[in-house]
Order: sequence, then structure tokens, then C-alpha cells
Amino acid sequence: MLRQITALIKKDFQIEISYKFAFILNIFSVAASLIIYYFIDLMFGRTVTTHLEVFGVNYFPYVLLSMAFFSYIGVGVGSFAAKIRDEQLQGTLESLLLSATKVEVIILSMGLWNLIFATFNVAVYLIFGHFVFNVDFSQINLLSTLVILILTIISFSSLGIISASFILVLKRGNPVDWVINTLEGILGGVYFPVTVMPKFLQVIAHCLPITYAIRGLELAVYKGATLYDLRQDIIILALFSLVLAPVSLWVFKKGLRIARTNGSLAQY
Amino acid sequence: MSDKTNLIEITGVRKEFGHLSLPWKSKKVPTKALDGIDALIKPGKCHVILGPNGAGKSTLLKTISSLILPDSGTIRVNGHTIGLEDEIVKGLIGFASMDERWFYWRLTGRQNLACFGALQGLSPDKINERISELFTCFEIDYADNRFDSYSTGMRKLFLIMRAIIHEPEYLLLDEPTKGLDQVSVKRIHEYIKNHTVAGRTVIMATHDIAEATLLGDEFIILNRGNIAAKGSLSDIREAAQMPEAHLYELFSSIIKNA
Repeated sequence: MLRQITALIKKDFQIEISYKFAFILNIFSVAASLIIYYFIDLMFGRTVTTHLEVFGVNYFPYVLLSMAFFSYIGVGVGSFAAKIRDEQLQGTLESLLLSATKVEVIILSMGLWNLIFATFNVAVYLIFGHFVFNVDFSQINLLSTLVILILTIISFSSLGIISASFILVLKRGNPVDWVINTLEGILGGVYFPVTVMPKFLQVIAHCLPITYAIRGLELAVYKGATLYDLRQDIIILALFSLVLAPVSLWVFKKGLRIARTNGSLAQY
Repeated sequence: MSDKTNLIEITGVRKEFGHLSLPWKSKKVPTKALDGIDALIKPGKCHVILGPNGAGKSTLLKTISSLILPDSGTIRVNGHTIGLEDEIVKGLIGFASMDERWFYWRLTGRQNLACFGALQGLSPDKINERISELFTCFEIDYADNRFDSYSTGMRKLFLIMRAIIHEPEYLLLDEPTKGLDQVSVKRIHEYIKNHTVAGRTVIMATHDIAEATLLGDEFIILNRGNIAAKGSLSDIREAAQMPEAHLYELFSSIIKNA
């Protein structure tokens, strides 16, 4: 199984580096987005600070971390569907599915390169943040950060696999992706803390895993929160992961069966 | 029913396209692609599927390869049922369709074969060994160029190499020599002959009667999703009561009278 996973990651890496300009442009995009939020912080940083007291930071460090973290969430949510769509358009999906590799291994490996790439992105965010904008990460609790990160990747990858199942069958027009991206981005506390929003939106936000992920991470990184301090967020994220992971693989297999029955694997 | 025997058993396979499979899709008149196909693919032989356009040749190959699931009926490969034991079946089968898009065009031919070899579970050493063998066999000296720089003929050779990298017991070929030059055609024909001589099995769909005559041990003549005739050339001659007929005459007569 390791052989197959490595082959798929290697293939994605080889394709990625064949687009050298896009690779370099990505680094500049990260820097550009950070500069935007840095100036927003200079203008409005103090106004927002009351909502950020719990995290002990100003707007820029808050948004730096949530944006960096959102790369992982973006991978989880978007990369599986995007990969399936790529394979459909390239015509390689049938070719992949003809191999003796288990379908679960193929779909999970599809997200792995993006996860590695997202880690690189996060590193770029954090390096810029620390060395250029003097963001202080000295309080970080590494264990709590890692636990929150792993649970977030599992729950969002599961949502991403469900989303990819729709692409397998519908090709275009993915309702899951739309709902997740819209709701998670706006309501999940990525660009501003959840407490800024009206009460009824906060209620919706508390039904989304991203709310717990962002809050847990911000507290673990900037306040050094322990696993015990974050137990509520961790339990909720673990529940999301436990339910969503098996459901997502079941849904994907179901989607694949529909596509094979319709004879539409090669269609796009 | 036999178990773990070295053959492919196709029993009552039906396939229609355009079914109402999703509740929000409009109802279409289904197209019957396969209509109750029964066949036994014996080992060590080259089985040629013949038929006019739309007869169901490619659908039958894709169904045997497990890319398409039948609506009813079963296909068992060495006793393993498609749809239930797909990973095992896929290890036994190599399928070369003529879709050149089955490769990553940003990678080289060698990188593509290495990737698909690994997905078939081959070790890195075995992959290198197989790639060398295949490049020697098909006289490939452009393997380290990017796939998008290859001609149609080069890509088709890679489709076959991709299918056989793991030395499958059953090789499925969909019009393998269509559009190829005579040198490449000869190499592929030699490979097919050697493959069957080694006790392995080839199932090949083609429109080329000369190629079918040259390579075929057994024939399945499809017409509108039905088997119009099957068996060895002598079986088909006998059934058609045309003892001296060439395959071309038999094919024309069978399709005309079907």
C-alpha cells in the first residue's frame, strides 16, 4: 500500500514542478495576502481587539494563523473534488481505477500531495509572519496544535471526499463544495472571530467543525492552551471525524458504483 | 460454478446506457449495448471480438475490465466476480483502450509507466526491469521525453506497455493497431503471439479482418449487443454452412443475416 501511496504523491509532485511559474507565483500570493491583512490591522486593528482578547492577540496575528490554517481546510474540502475533476478532464481517471490499488488508497492519496503542499504554504505564511511582521509564536503548545490539526484534517478531508463523490457522478456543480466553502469561510471565524457576528449566526457557526478548529488552534498557538483546556473543541472535532470519515468513504464508493453503472467514468 | 479456474466466464451480461439512474435526470430511451452475452474465454488463446460500429465490442471489453458494471449477469475472472472482487480482478487483467488520454501528459513516458507499475504493486526494481524489457521489445528510445511530445503511434505503444507492465494473465486490447505504421503493427502482432504462446490470454476488439484472421484462435461476432456467432474459425464456418469461406465473407454473411 505504501508503494502505491508513494507513487501517487511522486506523480503529483512531478506534475506540480512541471508548472514552475505557478509554483513560484504561489509564494508571492501568500506574501501579497499577508500585506493586505497587515494594512487592515494597521487601520482597524484596535477596534477589533475586544473580540480578540480571549486569544491575546491583535487582528493581524489572528488572521495570519487562521489564513494559514485555512490552507489545510481548503485542501481537505477542495482538493479531493479538484483532483477527481482533474483526472476526469485529463482522461486518467479510468486508467487509475484500472490498477489493482484499492479505491480507498487512491482517493486518500489524491489529497496527500496537496496536504504536503499546504504544509509548505503554511510554513511560508508563518515564516513571513514571524520574520517580516514580528508575530510572536513563543506561547505555542505543540501537542494541542498537532491534535487540533490532525482532527481538522480528518474531518475536512472527509467532507472533501463526500464532495468528490458528487463530482464523480455529476461532473460539474458540486453542492457540498459550495455549502462548505460559503458557510465555513464566512461563519467559521477565518477572517474575523465568531463573536463579531450576530447571535443567530453564532448559533449556526457552532454547528460547523471549522469554528472549533480555528478557535482551538488560535488558543493553542497564541495562549498555549493545553489539551485539557481545549477538551470541548477536541471532543467535538473528534466526533465530527469519527462520523464523517467512514461515511465519506462509503459515499465515495457509492458514487463510484453509480459512475461505473452509468459508464460515465470517462465523461466530463 | 468453477472456482479459481483459469478462464473468464461471462454469463447473461446485459448493459443499457441512458437509464434513469438519478432521480432528477430526464427519462431517456436506453441504448442496449450488451443483451445477454454468454461466453467462455479460454486460457492461452487470442479471442477476437468482431462487429460493426456500435455492436458493443468496447462495452464488452470495459465490462470485463471492471470499468463498467453490468446491469445484470456476471463476469468471473479466474473465479473472482467483477463488482465484488475488483482489486483481484484488476491484478489479473491489463487493458489497453485506444484513449491516449490515459496518461499524464506533463510526465515522461518512463515516469508514467513507473507510476502505473507501482499502482499495480510492482517493486521499484521490478518496475525498472519491466520498463527495460518493454523498451527493448518495442524499440523505444524516446521514453525520457515528455508524453505530450509523442506522436499518436508512440502514445499507442505506451498504452499497450501500460497494460502489460504487470504481466497480466489476460490482456484486453481495443483496436490496438488502429492508425499505427506497419513496423509498430508487426511488433504488436508479435507481442500478442508471444503472449498467447506463453499460456496467457488475449481478448482483442478489432475492425481489421486481416488482423483477426492472423491472430485469432477464437472469435466472438457481436451485432447490436448480441452474439451473432462464436467459436473457432472452423466452428463458425460449420455453423454458417460455409466450409471454405474466408473470415471476411463469414462476417459479412453473419451480420447481414443477423
